[in-house]
Amino acid sequence: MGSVLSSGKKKKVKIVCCGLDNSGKTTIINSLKAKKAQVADVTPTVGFSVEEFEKENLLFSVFDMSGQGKFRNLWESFYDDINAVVFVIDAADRVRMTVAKNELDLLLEKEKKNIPILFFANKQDIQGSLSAQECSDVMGLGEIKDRSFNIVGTNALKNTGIDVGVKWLSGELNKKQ
Amino acid sequence: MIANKNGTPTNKNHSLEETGSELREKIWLDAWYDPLANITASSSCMTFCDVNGDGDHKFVVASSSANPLINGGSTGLPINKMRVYKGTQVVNESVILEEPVAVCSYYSDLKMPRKSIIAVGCGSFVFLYRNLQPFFKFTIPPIVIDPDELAIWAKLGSGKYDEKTGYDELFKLRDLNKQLSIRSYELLSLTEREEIKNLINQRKNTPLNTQNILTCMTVLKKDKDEVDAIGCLVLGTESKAVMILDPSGSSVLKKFQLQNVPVFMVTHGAYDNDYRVIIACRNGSIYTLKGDDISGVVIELDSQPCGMLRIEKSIVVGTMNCVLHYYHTRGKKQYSVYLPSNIKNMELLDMKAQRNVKCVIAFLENNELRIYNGKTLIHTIATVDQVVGMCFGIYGTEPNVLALSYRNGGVEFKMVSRVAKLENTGKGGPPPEQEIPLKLPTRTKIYMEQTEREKEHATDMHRVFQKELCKLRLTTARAYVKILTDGQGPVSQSNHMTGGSIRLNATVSGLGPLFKIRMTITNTGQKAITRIPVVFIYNQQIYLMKQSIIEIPALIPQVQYKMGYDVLQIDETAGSDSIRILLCTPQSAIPVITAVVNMPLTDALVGSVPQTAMGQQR
Repeated sequence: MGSVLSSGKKKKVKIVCCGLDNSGKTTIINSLKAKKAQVADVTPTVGFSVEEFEKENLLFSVFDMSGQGKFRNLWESFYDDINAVVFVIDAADRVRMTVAKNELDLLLEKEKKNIPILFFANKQDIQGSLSAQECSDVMGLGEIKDRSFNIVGTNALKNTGIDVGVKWLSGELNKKQ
Repeated sequence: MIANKNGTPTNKNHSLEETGSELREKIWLDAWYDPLANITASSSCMTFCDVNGDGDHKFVVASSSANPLINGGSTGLPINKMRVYKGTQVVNESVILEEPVAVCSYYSDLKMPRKSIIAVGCGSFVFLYRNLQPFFKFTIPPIVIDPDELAIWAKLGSGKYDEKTGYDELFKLRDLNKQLSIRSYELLSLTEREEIKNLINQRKNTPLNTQNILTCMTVLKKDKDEVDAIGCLVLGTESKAVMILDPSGSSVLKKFQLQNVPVFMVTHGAYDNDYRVIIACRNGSIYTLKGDDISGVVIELDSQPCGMLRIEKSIVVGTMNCVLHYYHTRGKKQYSVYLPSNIKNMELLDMKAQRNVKCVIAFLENNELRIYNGKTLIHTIATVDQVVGMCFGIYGTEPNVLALSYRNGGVEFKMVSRVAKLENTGKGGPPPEQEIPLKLPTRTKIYMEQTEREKEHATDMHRVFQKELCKLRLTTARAYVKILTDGQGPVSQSNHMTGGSIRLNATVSGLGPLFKIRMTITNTGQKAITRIPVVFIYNQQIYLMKQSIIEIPALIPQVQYKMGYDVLQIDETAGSDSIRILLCTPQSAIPVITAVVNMPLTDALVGSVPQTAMGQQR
């Protein structure tokens, strides 16, 4: 109950978390939640789920989208009502990097409010995975001119790198409003 | 400013829409290309399957050693091998003893987790792999040999028959349309008595048996027509037989004897219910197996088949005369699509997830990878090399992946974009021009009379027209010939006098009274010409030139010669005249080329006029 009272003063932000299936979206969000609320084992998301947590003096409400091919068309229905996008890339899945790029291109085309995007180059622990810089090159992030973005290498299982990204995102969101 | 403000956002929107359509136009996403994969596999030797039962589909490919462009293994000898890819990595590689014919994957039981079996057909065996380990070998039953033929060979072996009698007896058997063994056919193909004797002596003591070779293999679902249902292997053999095996691969459930050698097979329905196996044979006939019988409906193609697919209730057959034929499974022809080049490979694009579109991917000899939705060409891309095989399916967890095997040994994965436009957007049928009504004149009285007259005198009118046309052509031709022979034109025709053709271009510059004639002469022929006289003809009372005849020493082919000559107008009151330039040859009086230069009026007289001078320059 205490959290509800304190959240009254805090700013609410809505973000959407997308990325291909099995890239670690739900795991990342899970690790951002309070220790008590965390789930032990993560299963593939169907459709989407809504999670809420507090970080950096902001009350985040996250739409955790399913990355499966048949649900990817749901992503765009959330673009109107959000403050930021979190895009998770499976850095170990080289074959599908082009699919991720295609989905990102679609996102950039559909989302016209120029809200910030935070990229997580996840699965840095796996041998042979691409670094954040390499991911950025493959995904052609250098071509994004109309909005602010950042890419951070993460390991969602060990919870490394995620806080750096969220700090940047909070900074961007506070700057905006 | 307001207009500007309004204008900018609309422009931006417009450009966004354009990029959107661009994304939709793009169908293939280039995921991964390994030019050094060192494998070549035909379409039938590739499959995507869930080997471990964890939902992660692997790419299984049986590579043939027959391609001279790819290297062997560490021994340097080319080997047949089966490779399993996960992502960009090879997770398993095993040697296959013979040239692979086909690879299929299916589920043989309902045990959890659902691990699919890989069936590799080569030679006269089908090897079944579970957990990537070979665990069962099915041997295709050998061809039964005619007892008469056996008897003849036995007599040849024991020496009762000499080669002449043996040959004649076998000849008789063949005339009776008996199916003989390959050894007998080989014997009958020989003509020299010595050769026949040698062959008999070499072979007569080895037992006569004929292995049955696999030609094609596919999977028929057992109890229900679903992706993860239990399947049965269907084998086509060189002995013109088709066999349906039980799911374990240990016994033959049904056997059909066809008239021709099957080369492509597609299945429809489930074995336990109502199934069909459609079989394209090497000679171009398509048979249908249904229940216990071979259906009476046989499709006769106009050429040999080079690929067959099934889209719902229709089958698509690519033939060697560059045509895609669409038939209903019951045998009724629907339509044909004529392609510009030979079909090398065909595969079904079965779009999964979100939407259900089925298209034909055809690879043509001119390195084009085309997608057809029914009759409509949806998309074309050029490939880096000749595609020898392709396979469409689920790779990893991503549906809609196309694996390509190239002739150079490379492997490529392409994925279909989620928003790719595969639907048949353009209206089929006649072109839109056909819908626009013709502008017919109104039926006035004069028009009616005119038509009547035209109807009555049609022949005469046509004849008169033809005559006039002939006359016109004759006049034109005469004028043309005259220009060529007179040397009046600016370009001379090749003739014996010059040995080449010459182009002459002359202009005049200056405001007067001193002008300059600039000539550009090009020899457009093949040979150099020497000692060419050039003559200027002008009114000597008006103009003065230092030399009215000059001689050009040589004209080398394809070089532009530029020359300038001064002309002085001595009588400034005489207005202007033209100067003719004749280019001749020493051998003939008729000039080769003539150019006429219209001289401008002298400026001092008219008062205005550099423009006039410029205007009249030629």
